[in-house]
Amino acid sequence: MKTEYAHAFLATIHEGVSLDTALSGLRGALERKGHGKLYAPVLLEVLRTLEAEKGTDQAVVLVAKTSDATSLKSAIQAALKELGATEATSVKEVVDETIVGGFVATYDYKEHDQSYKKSLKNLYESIVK
Amino acid sequence: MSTEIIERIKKEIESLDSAVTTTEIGVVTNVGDGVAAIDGLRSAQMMEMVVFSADEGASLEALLSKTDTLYGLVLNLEEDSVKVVILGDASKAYEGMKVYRTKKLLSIPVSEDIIGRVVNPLGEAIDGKPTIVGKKNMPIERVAYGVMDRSGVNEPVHTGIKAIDSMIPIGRGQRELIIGDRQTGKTTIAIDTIINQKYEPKEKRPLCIYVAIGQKRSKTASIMQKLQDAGAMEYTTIVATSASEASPLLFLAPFAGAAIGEYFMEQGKDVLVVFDDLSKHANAYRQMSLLLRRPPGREAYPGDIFYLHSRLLERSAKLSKELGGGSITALPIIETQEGDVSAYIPTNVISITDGQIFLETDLFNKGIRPALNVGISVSRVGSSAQTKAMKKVAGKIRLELAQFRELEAFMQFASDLDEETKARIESGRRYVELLKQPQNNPMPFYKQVVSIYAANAGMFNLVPVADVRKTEDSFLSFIERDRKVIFDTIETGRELTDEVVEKINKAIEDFKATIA
Repeated sequence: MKTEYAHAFLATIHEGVSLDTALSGLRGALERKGHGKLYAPVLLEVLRTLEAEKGTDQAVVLVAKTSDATSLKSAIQAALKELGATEATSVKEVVDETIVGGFVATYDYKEHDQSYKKSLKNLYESIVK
Repeated sequence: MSTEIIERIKKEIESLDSAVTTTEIGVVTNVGDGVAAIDGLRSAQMMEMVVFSADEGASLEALLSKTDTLYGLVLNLEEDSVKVVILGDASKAYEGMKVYRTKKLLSIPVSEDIIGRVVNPLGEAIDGKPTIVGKKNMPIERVAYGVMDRSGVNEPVHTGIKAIDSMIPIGRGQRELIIGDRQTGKTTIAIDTIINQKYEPKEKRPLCIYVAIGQKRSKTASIMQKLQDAGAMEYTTIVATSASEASPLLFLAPFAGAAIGEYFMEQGKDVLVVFDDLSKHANAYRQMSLLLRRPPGREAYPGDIFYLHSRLLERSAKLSKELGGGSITALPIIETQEGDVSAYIPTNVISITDGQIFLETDLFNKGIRPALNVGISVSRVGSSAQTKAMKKVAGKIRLELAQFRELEAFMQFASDLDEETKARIESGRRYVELLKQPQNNPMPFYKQVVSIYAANAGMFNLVPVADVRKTEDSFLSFIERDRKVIFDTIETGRELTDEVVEKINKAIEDFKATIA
């Protein structure tokens, strides 16, 4: 039920209703139907949905060291384009030494893994098997 | 030197055909009770296997030394997420974990090496012996063969139990339900049937698959030991799940058994699959469905519980000659509560199967073992598969027992009864005694034929009821020793010719002379 309330709340905000009005409307509606205790869970669900939307709208690029982001810039941009990211998409760079080298780009539940870690793992598996 | 190595490895990596492609991923948003809700994976299919990635943040060394992979099975496709049941240690899955598609529907690797082994529903060996190398991946779920792909049931599966082989015959490709309360000997009948297959000629012997669904590990181990002791493990595979395992594995177990069976059936072989038991399977499916938030129906089982069992049992078939003529015979087991066969799951499975063997606690306590109620047990297609020899002798036993059941109520007034009724009751008691059999001691069909023929000929009327089984043993040993040709002729010809009948009659006369 909280999911339905959360969806309705988000739809109200997307329609342009101010946040204060929407919040008081939600609280009032919940109280009237005897679902007052659902207020906090519904807000948490709204928060989770908004964060997920924000997360998918942000591309994440993993590199082994900071300088890789510059040296591999053209390859990263090509990968992000392939994943469907536009120039307007915000890109978050994260340093992860365990990928050894190369980069991993993630956007909109899609991944482009061009790391040395994956290549070495594939090499190992091809030798072992 | 080390620079050289580094350069060489770099070149090797560059030369690799790593074909970097875009992969679809999902992220775990919620996990609990063995079920994970996952955002993403928009193109995931129902029953597709997914892999939970433990790569993130792990060093290359740790990654390469890792041997276990955590798999999940997609079972709910929802508007903005998918729900996956975790096949393994669910505590390893966490919120935010990445999940990858395998683009493969759940399947298990099967090869001839699986015979004689104990495996889990994913086809992994759990008997401590070497890994099983699969030749073919068999899908766990698939559409059963259609009408035109099948042929009629025309060959028997001998259970080695006189009461069943004579009155409730089972054919290859049939689905015969074994139903009864706890501790009535349901598993024993199934195990005896598996053991009895060793008497079949090797080329015609069905391969056996015993599927233990949510059984105690000790019970599965003891069954394996019994089969090993009887020499039956060489043609048997055990798919084992214990009560302590996650419900998705219990749910998959019978489907894995059917998938293994289909591998051999498609090669034209005969297979016998025992599902022990479907009540526990229904309970596991109920648990899983409730965790997946599917709406509950009668007795809290999900609405598709009938479909679940019917699509499983429909996979047992006798294939047409064009498709190799292989078969899967299914012996599902259902445990009833207080003999209530009108409960939801028993009625469902009764209506799906081609007959049922009812076992009763009262009969078991009276010492009639197997505790078979022959009055309400039935086989709908098996009679056409019965051997001619058995058909010839079985008609009378059925009639005699039916009359005995009607007269049984008068037994307490025995002194007031006329001679004919008394004789019928006495004859019936001897038939009941003859049909008793100790557990794990199945009898080859040719011995059954001779034994029942002797009973029909009134041989056991000469001895007290308590001595019927002893006399039967002596008679069969007498034939085995002095007239083995009778057994051999029936075994190979599967018919009771006039010549054989004459020989049996002669043997009965000679045996009577020895005991007189």
